[in-house]
Amino acid sequence: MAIAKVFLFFLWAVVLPFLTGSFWSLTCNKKENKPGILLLACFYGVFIEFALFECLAIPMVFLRCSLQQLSFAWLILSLLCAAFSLYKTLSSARFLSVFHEKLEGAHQRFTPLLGVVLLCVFLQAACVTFSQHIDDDDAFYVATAVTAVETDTLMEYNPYTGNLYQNIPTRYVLSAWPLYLAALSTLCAGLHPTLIAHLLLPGLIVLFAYLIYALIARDLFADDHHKQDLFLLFVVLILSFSGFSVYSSGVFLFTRGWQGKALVAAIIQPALFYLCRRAMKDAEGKAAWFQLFCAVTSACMFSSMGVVLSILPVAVYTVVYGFEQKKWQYLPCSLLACSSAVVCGVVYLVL
Amino acid sequence: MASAFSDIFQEVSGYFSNYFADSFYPLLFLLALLLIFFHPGAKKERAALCGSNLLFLVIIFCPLTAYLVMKMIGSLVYWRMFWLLTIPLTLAFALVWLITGFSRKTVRALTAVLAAAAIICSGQFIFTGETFSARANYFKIPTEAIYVAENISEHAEEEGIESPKAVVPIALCSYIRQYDAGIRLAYGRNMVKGEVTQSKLYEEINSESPRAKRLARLARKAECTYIVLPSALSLDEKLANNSFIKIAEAGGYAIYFDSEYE
Repeated sequence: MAIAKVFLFFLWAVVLPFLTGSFWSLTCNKKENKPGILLLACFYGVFIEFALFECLAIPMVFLRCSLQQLSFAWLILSLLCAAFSLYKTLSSARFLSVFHEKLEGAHQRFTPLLGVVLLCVFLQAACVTFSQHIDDDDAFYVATAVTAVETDTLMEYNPYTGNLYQNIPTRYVLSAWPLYLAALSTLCAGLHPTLIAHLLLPGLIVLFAYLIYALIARDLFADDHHKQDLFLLFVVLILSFSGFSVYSSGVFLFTRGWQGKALVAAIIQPALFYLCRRAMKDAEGKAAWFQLFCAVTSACMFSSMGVVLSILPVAVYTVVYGFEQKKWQYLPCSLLACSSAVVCGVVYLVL
Repeated sequence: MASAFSDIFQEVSGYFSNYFADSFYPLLFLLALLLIFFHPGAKKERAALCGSNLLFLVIIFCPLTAYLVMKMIGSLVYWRMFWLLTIPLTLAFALVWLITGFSRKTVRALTAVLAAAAIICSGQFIFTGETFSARANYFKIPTEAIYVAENISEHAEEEGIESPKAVVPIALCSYIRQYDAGIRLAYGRNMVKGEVTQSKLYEEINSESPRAKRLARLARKAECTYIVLPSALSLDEKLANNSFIKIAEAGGYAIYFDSEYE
């Protein structure tokens, strides 16, 4: 039974986003039709799933819907997205041919340096999975998920005590990340949310962070595998030695990867760098802007800090690329991409 | 106005010092930005890496923007603004250009080793015994919290108590509900963090030698059917005199049930 639950977890948390993202990896990857198509599928799919969840969760929290309703509404929409994406992908010969090429060329791409990088990354993922780091902030974040499962409600009970909230928890109500853990628990036949947060997610989050750095490496050093591998090796080294204080993004990634604020630090920042680059520098069109919107919405889902820490980077990259290319037509697109964060910000201020 | 801005700048500088502690990462980061700015090969990324990070630094340190951001997010978490700096990718990018800029393989290898040494010496390794410990259980919470929660839950089920409420010492209050949210607590970490006013019950149960009579009275007043105390306190008899009967002992904690509960 436990294996079946874990299987369901990987189905909803890994396979479903991959299927959802496969179509977008084609749409957003027009310029170079080969590199990173599989990584891109994961990357795009995960943010689409998160954004979808946030867009559903916020109104449902205010409408006082149940966790079951939220979980199944999200699952149905996700399955529809994945089915549509799969249909479009399979009807496109390009994805399959690139997929075949990738599989055949995998051994050629493999270098000793990449081997070292992969070994380090998997060791880090294993370390965060098999060892423990206890963080007292979980008394809120993880307990919110466990409380939602226990009561089948959405943020109606104080996770510290289990009493009904007197007022809406304004600081947290727009960040649905703990509810995502609760929804996964519901959809994985009751797999305990604490197990999801502490045991299954941390390793995946570490892998996902490096997936983003791998995409950045491909973008920065196109066609130079050696430089890409060297770049990743240094990223591994820098993150491993970023324990100089308890505040660094590296520490947050490895010690509390299941908390939303850690995702804002370790996932959202490199992701926004990558997506702004794709949208503004490589001019990849509407699909890239849609992905940026999904990443910004995901930032809001992770933490209330995500509002500021997503709007600011997008604004800065818009200015920087605007000056570099003397193009300012991206300004309205950037505003649209940040619209969910702007709305959340206004709601936070009003509440 | 000028002094207010100066205060904010000082505050942000303080956050900067706390964030980077005594590491040399800021220095390495600065060198990386300079290298990217002046390296002809890295020209394409000058705006994306140098321009954006400089703008981030301006936004973070400029008293006016810092004031506005602090107003929005609160000054206590302002240090999170340093997450905006793309240090890992900027530093790694600069090092790749530095190393691959040399044509001789031996020089490349030597530079790579020196660069790695600089990173290692400037930072601090995360994966140490101080940060991570051996997993005590799959839930990765203190095992004693699991034992206590299971005992309360089982007993409550036997007694037909739908929503048991307990008062536990500080050491357990953060973990019980991560395991079983069916157990309500008299206080949680919000009280430890000072988000709500400390109660007499909180003070009594966490005192060095809790007074059984007072503890039982306060627990009953807070509608707690269970009291959890370290076994070492040996309050079994005194609590029993106040109708709190010991039902179990687990993980170094004794669990008492209010026999007057109806």
